Amino acid sequence: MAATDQPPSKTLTALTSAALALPGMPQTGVAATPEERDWEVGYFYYEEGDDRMTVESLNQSLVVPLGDRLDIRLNGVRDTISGASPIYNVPQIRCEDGRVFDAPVRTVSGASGSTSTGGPPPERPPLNDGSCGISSVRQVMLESTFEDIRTAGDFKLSYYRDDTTLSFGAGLSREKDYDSDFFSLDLRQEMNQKLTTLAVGYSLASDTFTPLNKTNFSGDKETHQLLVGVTQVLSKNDFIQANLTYGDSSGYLTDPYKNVYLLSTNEAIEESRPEARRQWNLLTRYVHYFPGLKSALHLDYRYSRDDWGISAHTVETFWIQSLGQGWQLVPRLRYYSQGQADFYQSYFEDLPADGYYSSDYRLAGFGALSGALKLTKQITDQVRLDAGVEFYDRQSHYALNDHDDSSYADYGFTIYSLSVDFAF
Amino acid sequence: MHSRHSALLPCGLGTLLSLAGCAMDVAPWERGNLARQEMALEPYPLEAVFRQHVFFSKEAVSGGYGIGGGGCGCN
Repeated sequence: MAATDQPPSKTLTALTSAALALPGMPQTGVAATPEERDWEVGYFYYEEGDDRMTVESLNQSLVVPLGDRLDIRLNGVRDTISGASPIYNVPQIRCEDGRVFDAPVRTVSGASGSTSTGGPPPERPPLNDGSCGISSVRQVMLESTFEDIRTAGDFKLSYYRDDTTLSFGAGLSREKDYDSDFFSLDLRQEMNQKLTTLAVGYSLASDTFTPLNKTNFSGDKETHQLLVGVTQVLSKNDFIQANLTYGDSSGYLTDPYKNVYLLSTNEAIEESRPEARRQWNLLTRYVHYFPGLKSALHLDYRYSRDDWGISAHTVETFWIQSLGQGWQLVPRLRYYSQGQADFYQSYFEDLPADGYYSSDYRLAGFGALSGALKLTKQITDQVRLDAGVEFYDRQSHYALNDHDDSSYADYGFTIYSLSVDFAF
Repeated sequence: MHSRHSALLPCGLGTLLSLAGCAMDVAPWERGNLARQEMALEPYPLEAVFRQHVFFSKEAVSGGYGIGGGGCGCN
């Protein structure tokens, strides 16, 4: 390291931490000097209400400096996934004589598990004669017959020179029915005496879906992503970041485990999505330190838009409060709102002429509120322990965006987390 | 060489995003608070990865926080 340089400061590590992080690729700190050695291991338990899906996740992340100019980060994940998930929505018919029942379901496409259709009558009554009509819809679940394990690993190698950091990363993710391989390249340039950092990045993911409910079929998907970001120090106690990302996916984007209910034929058939999707995200993050309170405020806003007709707002804030003696308390709030996809309906009378249709509850319009609390304790100079819980509540009526009611798909989940960080 | 002029260059950028207008000149020795662990953009990276993965699986839009990473057959 050149003797004339400023002593390596963790400032920019702080500033740019996770600037380029995404699921599967944590990236804490890419400053103009390699990161310090660190190993973090975490256990996460995800549990949906109503005995739906659960996920147990073991994660680890190891960072090792390789001399003065390089470091490497190695990440590993193992998720065990089980439980029920929604496959389609069946209309519910209410008649003047007080009868309420599901519309009949003659066939269900590709359902390898049992479906509970609630004992429909063999024939449904005519719906347009005024005595019977559709009053609501009900989600049909694919029962807990499926269990999957996802194993993923990736590395990121970073090279540091003066005010420039260049990183190359690659990895893979494996499931019984879904494989993904990916790589990324990013460049970060510090300017203006390290008060400003510019970042550009590119990544490519190549996925193959081999649905278990289909024989001799696999679908490929390719996703390109581009990122441009700026981080700017505003004062000795705050800074701001803006990231613009663009994603372009093409290929098999349909979820073969999701069906739509077709009223004209009383069948649940496999959904069909467009073969391309473009997404834009503008993320702004602001961080402020309150010296008097020994606290840090984080405030994020993300605006998202895609060419499936979905736009979304995400606001998130958390507060890190030092309690003394190495303890920190971190309350967190998040609000999310999305509109619905152009080709989303809870069920369909007839198939749309353009050939695209989905009743996937994740493409419906809805809002979600989540609240979290986390406690961390620095046990020694080297070891920190974190424990947290987060509650997530999805409600159709929480949405800001225009949408059809999707309250039949409302649910919630809880995430419990436990992790240990070793700076060794 | 410590120069205020160099701070002028990113003013345009600064104005683009900054709430406080043109960025201040914060000397290296004044950056202690910015370097604190709780001031990192992502102070809990492992948790962040898991949470983003959950939101990616359960919400229609995803990303923005960075790039890279692979897909999943998440239901």
